[in-house]
Amino acid sequence: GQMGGQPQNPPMRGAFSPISVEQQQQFAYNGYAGQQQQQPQHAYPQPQAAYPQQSFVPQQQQQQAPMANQSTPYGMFAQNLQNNQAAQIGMQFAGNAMNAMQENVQQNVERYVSMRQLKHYFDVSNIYVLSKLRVLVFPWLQKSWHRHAERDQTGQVVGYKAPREDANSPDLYIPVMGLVSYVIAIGLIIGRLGVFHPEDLGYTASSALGVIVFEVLLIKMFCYLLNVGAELQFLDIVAFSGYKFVTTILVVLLKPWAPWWVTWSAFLYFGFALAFFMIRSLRHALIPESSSVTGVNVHRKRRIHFLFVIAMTQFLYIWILMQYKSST
Amino acid sequence: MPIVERSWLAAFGTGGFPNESPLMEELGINFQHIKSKTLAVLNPFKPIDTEIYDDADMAGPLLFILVLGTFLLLSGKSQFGYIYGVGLLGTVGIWAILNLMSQGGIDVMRTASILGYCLLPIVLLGSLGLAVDFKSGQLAAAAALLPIAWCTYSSATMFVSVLSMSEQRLLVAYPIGLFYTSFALLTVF
Repeated sequence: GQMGGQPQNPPMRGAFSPISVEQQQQFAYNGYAGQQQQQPQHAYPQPQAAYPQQSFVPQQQQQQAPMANQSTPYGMFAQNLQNNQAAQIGMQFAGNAMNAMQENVQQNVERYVSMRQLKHYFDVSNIYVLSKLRVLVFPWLQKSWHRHAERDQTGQVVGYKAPREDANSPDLYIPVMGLVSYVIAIGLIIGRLGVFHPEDLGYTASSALGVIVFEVLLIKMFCYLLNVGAELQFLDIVAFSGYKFVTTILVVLLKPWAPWWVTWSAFLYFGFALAFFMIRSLRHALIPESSSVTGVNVHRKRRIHFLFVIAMTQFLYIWILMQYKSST
Repeated sequence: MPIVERSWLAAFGTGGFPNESPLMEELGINFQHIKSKTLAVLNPFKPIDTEIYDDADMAGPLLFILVLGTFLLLSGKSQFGYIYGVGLLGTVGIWAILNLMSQGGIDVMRTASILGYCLLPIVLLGSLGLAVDFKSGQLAAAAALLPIAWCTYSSATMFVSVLSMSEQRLLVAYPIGLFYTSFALLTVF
């Protein structure tokens, strides 16, 4: 019944209909057997071969469809997709697969760095940034290094307060900005010396990241050896490690243009300031004030030694970061 | 049967099919918006109508980047690849920072569009580099400061109005300033 109008149809070729009108008629009149004979000859027979009835519905609809749908070949393409069950199933499968893939990726990423946690570290205000910079440059002015604990409704401690509310809480905004500023500062210096090449930005960034990675791994190893658990989160360590860029920038900007003794005294001063900052910041985690856990006191000396090592390696890191290429 | 004109003119023009929208509309290029966005960058002190940024078009930014690359090429530095790399990395970084710092989010294409439009002063700096030799002298650092500040100011203003985060304005301006400084580094040195 539906085939009555077929022969008068012009052979409109959409992307999914590479077969001619006569062959479509043969599809309709033969069964599966006939179609399987026809299959090898066609570029994309699958959707139409499996469902002979539905493949002709678009043609049928095309006769009755409004002008807009017939005006472009792509109209028929869309209709083929809509009315073709195999294509529908295929699209649904693809959609489900995409969703599952995305969820899988997100879950795996969540395990290492959760978005909510990251947002906590970027919740900063102008005042916080200014006071933190002041603490990094003049650490002895800071009276209290205690971090305020965040409590939920029942009074349980669920974590630490956000940087916006607690000036002692580490954030990731300053370290990230510090890293990028350091790379650009080195770029500026090399540019003024006349030996700039854009690749140097990349080299500087990777060596800076290498220093950070090394320090974070070192502190993480110390934490493992000292059995420090949740008091010092991974991102906290990254944050504390990243604060060194602020002081390093101040030293490295002096290096090309100030006399050598100015540079080295600045290096010593800022090195000690950074060491002091790290000791005071990490002390609450590595050396708890209360002696409730007896095991801690036994290892207290070891903890103090480790803290000292962390502080002294700051000099090494600043020295490494101060190096730059001074001639091609 | 659709009415399709069969003539040479119809084949080469856009008047072929009925009910077909004009070419510019199909491509998503809206000249009026492009012009108003460019003027907004050139005059950052005028209040900006934020709804023109909803269409996130990349035509203007692409044009600016190509012009910047051409100016650099004419002054002896073939650095299209670096412009692309720094631009891409910087845009993704700014998008990440803005999403982490603000309450509402912003999508990548809109940040790319806003950052690209505000690149115009750096393009002007690049054109200045055709006439002046930057490598020799103090002129370099001083000449680059004004375009960077201009770019940063207009860009930060747009982001702050689009994301409505007013008390973090300086914190938003700093990473954007770093982004444009790296472009200026490429241009000047």
